[in-house]
Amino acid sequence: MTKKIVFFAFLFVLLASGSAKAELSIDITGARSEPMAIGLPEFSIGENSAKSDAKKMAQKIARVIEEDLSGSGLFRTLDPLSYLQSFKGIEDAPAFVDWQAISAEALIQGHVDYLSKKQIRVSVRLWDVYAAQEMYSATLEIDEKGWRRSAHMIADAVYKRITGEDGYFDTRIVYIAETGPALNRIKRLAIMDQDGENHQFLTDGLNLVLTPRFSPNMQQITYMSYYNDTPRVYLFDIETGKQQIVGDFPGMTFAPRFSPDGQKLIMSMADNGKTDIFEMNLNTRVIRQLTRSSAIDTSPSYSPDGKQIVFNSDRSGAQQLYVMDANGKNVKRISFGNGRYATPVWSPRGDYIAFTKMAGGKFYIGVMFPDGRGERLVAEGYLVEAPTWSPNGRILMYFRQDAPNKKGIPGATKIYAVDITGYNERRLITPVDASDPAWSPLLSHR
Amino acid sequence: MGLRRSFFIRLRHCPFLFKTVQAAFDNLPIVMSLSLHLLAVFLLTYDFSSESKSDVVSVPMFVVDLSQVKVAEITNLPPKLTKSASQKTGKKSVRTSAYSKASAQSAKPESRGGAKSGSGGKKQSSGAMLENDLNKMLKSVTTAPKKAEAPSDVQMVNSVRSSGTQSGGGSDDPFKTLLASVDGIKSGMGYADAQTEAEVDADEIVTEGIEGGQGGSYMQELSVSEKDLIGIKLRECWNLDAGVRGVQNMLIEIRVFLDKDGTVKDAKILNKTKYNKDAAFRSVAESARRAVYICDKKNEESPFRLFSKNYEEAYDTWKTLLLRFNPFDGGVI
Repeated sequence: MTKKIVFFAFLFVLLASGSAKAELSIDITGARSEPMAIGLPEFSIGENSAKSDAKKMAQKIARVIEEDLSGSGLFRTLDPLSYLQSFKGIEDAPAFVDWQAISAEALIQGHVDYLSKKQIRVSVRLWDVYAAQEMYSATLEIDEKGWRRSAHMIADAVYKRITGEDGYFDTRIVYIAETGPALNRIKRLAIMDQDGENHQFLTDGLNLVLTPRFSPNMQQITYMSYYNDTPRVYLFDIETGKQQIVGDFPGMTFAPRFSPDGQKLIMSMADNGKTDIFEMNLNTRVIRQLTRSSAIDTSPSYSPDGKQIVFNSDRSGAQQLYVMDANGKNVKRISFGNGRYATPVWSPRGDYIAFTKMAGGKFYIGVMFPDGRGERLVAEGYLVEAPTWSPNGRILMYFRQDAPNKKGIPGATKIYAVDITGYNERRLITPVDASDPAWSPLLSHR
Repeated sequence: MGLRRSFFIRLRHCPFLFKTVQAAFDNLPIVMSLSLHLLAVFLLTYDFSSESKSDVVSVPMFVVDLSQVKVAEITNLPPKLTKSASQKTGKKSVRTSAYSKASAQSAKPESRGGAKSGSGGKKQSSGAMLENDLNKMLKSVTTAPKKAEAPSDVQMVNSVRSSGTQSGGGSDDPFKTLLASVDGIKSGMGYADAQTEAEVDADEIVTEGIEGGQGGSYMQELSVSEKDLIGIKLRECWNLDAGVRGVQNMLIEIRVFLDKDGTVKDAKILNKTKYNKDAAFRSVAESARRAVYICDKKNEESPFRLFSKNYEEAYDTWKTLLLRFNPFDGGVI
């Protein structure tokens, strides 16, 4: 009986929908793509706060938010002189017409209050100016010393609400700081915030350090170091400053990288003239060989779900990129363009694989889909190498070296970042020459 | 069975229905067969193409009952065209065919080579200004030829239309072919001349559609190029982050509710489930909705004003629009 009723209901709906009138529809294909205009008026301050302190703090926080958002290339803050409205408190409603008049698409309203001498409260509200709707609001209570991180976290929240993806401002970069002449280069491990602040050296430079990588939990960095002229993979604990060697292997080990869950390390090991990929369980220290070829297989990187690994190999005669299952099976070549491909890194959001490409006497940083389609080059230069992803998979950071000068002295090495669309390339200022950057996960996700 | 019983109990109040329904249930195979036959007939005869949402199809088909079509004493032209023309020509002869004017009204900036006729109606005082604005808007976006003087403007459109009808053989628009032939018949009868020579005060002109048939709606004249124009204007208002995950496969649908003056009353993002679940979709959808409002705030330059200016009388047809934003088909500009 139920079936019959359903049948008649279906018949009725079909007949009814047939007689419905068509709605006038218009297709819009394509769009313009430019930084979103944001109004960021001066943050208001609490009445109980010592005015000069609170005002300074409000300005500092607003400036960091502005630098973060503008630096992403997706936003631009409007000239404060054009603002028609100022806010006295976080409860003040925006005059949307005034903000529309200066073409602000979004508005960040902020308020800073001192709860005690060292404790501050920061409140923000994000508004969609044209839809006249609040998009986001939050209040943070923090120690005064943590103001910079709180500003990064607010910028991350704004970024996430507008773009739909996690931000990357509350993150750190570890890299190789280089000093000294070309033949006696001192390479030290260094760490800093993603905007170059809070810089510090982690190692003393007595031993050569290469290819640092963050663990997903941010506690540790893995890297390769030459100790007694033998390259070994090390673990470095950021908080304690202690380093330890990862096992003792018969050959040379290099190119280490953590698995997404932080429980395993994947690396290359060279022995008897061939190089293969190995995986080590960090808890049990058990090693498993994943590739067995007579070629050089190196630079392994896990997919974010940990189910696949991308690496480069010269098994076809030239360096190309390959993808295999995490157990070493189903090896498939994915790069087929001209030139050689190296240092593949799987994007944290899974949609791209970044790589270094060498072709026609130049170096390139590029991205392709994991199946090898859609190769796109986003940076080029005399030497550009070692891409690393921002934790949201949106920005690629790499280092660039200029061509040697007329006397044959190698050019300086600098760190750059570029959006995956190929726009907004920016240099990250470091105190000394810098190479081989690695981007940390989002600190607040730790 | 319980459901069936209660159903019959309720039907007892109406013996005829009761008997009919009972008979239907008793002869269910026959009823099912009949229903399926009806469905088959419906599917064969109904024109689904007019219901689909493709670019061309949202312009409904013209169905004109020739036996009932008669030429109204007064034109069905939107007042704006007639007023605009009358302003420019004083109280001279402005009456060409009502149909020709209606056609001139919707002359296409590109394909038809005509220029837009102005606005008017209740906004007569600002009619010429609005007309100029609209023309500016059109020129800025399309490669429309330079606008001719008003009297020749209408004639030019007429000539283009009629020649198009002759050469094109009415290939794309049976209604326009019909209008052209009715024009011809009228001129043959001297009807048009009589009308043309009459001095008409613009204020006396009211609008009336063609009596009978479905051919009177101005919205049927909303051309592909006008839709393109609106699409292009909206595209310029749409600021999209091209790096959002999965943006290449997104299609955002927004229902826009317009006021009679062409301003946006509301814009609603459809597919709320995806909007609530998928942050990337939400981001792109909000940028599309923002585009609607940004365009709306352009006032006279707003693409939605095209409706209030050119199709004021057909408000019911455009008071809601379905906008389909496709980020990547047209590329990012």
